[in-house]
Amino acid sequence: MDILKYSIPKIAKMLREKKISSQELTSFYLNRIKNNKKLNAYITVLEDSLDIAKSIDNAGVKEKDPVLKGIPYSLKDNMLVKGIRTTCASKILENYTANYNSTVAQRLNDSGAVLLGKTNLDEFAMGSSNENSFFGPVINPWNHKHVPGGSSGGSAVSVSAGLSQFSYGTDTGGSVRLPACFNGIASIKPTYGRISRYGIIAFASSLDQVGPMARNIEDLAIAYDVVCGPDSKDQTCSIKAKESMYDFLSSDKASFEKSFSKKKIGIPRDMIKEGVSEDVLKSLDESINVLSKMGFDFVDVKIPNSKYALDVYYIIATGEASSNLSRYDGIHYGYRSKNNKDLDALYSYSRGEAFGDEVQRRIMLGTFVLSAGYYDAYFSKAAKVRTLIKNDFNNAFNDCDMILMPVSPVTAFKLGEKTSDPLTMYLSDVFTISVNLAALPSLGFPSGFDKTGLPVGMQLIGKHFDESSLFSAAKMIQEKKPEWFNNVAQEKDSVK
Amino acid sequence: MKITGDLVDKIAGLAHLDVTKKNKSLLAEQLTQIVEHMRVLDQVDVSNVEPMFHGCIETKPLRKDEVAPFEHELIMSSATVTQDNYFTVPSIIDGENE
Repeated sequence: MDILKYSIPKIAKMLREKKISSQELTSFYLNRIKNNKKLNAYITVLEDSLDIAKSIDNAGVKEKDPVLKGIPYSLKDNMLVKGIRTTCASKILENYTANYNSTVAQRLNDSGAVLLGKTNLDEFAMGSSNENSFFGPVINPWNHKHVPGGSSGGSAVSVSAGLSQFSYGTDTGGSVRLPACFNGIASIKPTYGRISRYGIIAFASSLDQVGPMARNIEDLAIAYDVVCGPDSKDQTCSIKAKESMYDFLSSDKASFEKSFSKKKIGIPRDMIKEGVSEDVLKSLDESINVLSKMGFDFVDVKIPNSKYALDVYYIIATGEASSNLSRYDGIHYGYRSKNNKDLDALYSYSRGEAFGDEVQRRIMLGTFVLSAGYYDAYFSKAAKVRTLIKNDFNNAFNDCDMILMPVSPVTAFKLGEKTSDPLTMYLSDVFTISVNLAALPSLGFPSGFDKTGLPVGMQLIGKHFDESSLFSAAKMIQEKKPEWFNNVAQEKDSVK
Repeated sequence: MKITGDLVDKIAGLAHLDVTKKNKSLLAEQLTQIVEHMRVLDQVDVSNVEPMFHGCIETKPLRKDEVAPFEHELIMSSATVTQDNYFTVPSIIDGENE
């Protein structure tokens, strides 16, 4: 029985027919986690997940139970789960145990899904390569000399290497889509406000959004459905009623095809110029080809202010982060320095000793752009250019229903390749950040492999709250190109 | 815009970050490089453009301003040093120590 080939609906059916048990599934994944420790995908593995699986088996999985009941998953270690250590991959929270549940964790718990553990990330989700973790870097399972992408690298690897059925990351500037792309799996960064941020450790509050990851589109839709929807605990969470993407994808084929017939896809050619590898461009053409055959029309669209997106992002994100991270004071929770001759010393040494280099760099930058004398030239200016970027997308959507572009200009780069030059590392996010600035939804899908066997990925960007167009197009792509989906990473001898 | 060593000290002070053990000249150099890159925004005309300070597409009704229940002792259990169920800080009056 090859569990890794099965989708969530298939496993759910097998659980109901008693052809497999939640304990078998859970121990299957726990064993794989144990055998793939060198990938460093998990910070905390929950061995007692087997007891939870056992109690689910004892109660039996019934027809009317939630589809995820008994199915194992993982969560990025910046989402609070009551009673479980939540580190954010930082020394400052190394021994912090969450004392309440994030809404995401609560909804998954209510669904009966089985939490296998908390996955590795760049410290406080700040990074594009998952090399900034206090617990060490995560390794790309397709080639161990390469990065898995960040910041949700552990979550992406847990799915691509078959160490969980599905997972969740957070995407502030591409942190779900980039690692999913580098790992050959599907992901979605929903419209800002679709998923509650309650209990998600804040990085940049106006940009952060939880995003699921899975090996195929049905699993992605189910993982999305269970966590999205209004939440009174988060004032930024949308009040729009939840629409089930899985039910939508399962609707009859005729009405489904009608939902996307005559839809137009925009290609922002002016964004996809410099520094894009030949393999990625080839893969983009192939995706265009697949979508053309499905009946989509293509138009060129322009997002002229996207050339400022990187700078706007690193001003806004670091500004918000410097404020959000001021709560780590050595007093209320987290690391407390022994150097405490006075209150200021306690603050400064606790933070200086326990935050990593990248986090400190971003706090410094954020403090600078918000400080008196520089606020207008940096933070305020960036917030205005952000409006222009959002307007550009709105204008582009007058001519098209979705936008297609690569997730990253290149495939997974080598470990250590960009660590000494923060600016070069920041450029990894050049194709993903505009979406966060404009609060739009974007679905990342795998689109084959480059010459060396590393995965390539594309993204479909939609109008605000139009996730259904993205899911329907992605499902059709999966039907036409099944070889792009359901891949489990294995390092190939030829690339070692 | 050059971020000098003195400016690094000033920002670190504002951010309550001890950077005495850091390579300050490298930090200043990296921050300068990033901030220089950000000057590209000088080219953009933003007159009459409203800033976008949040990501919400819609406005939401406010909920009632009511205190939600919480477990005091559980919250206090996250702190490293407490006394009589209060957070403890170093003395802020001369002559006393933690």
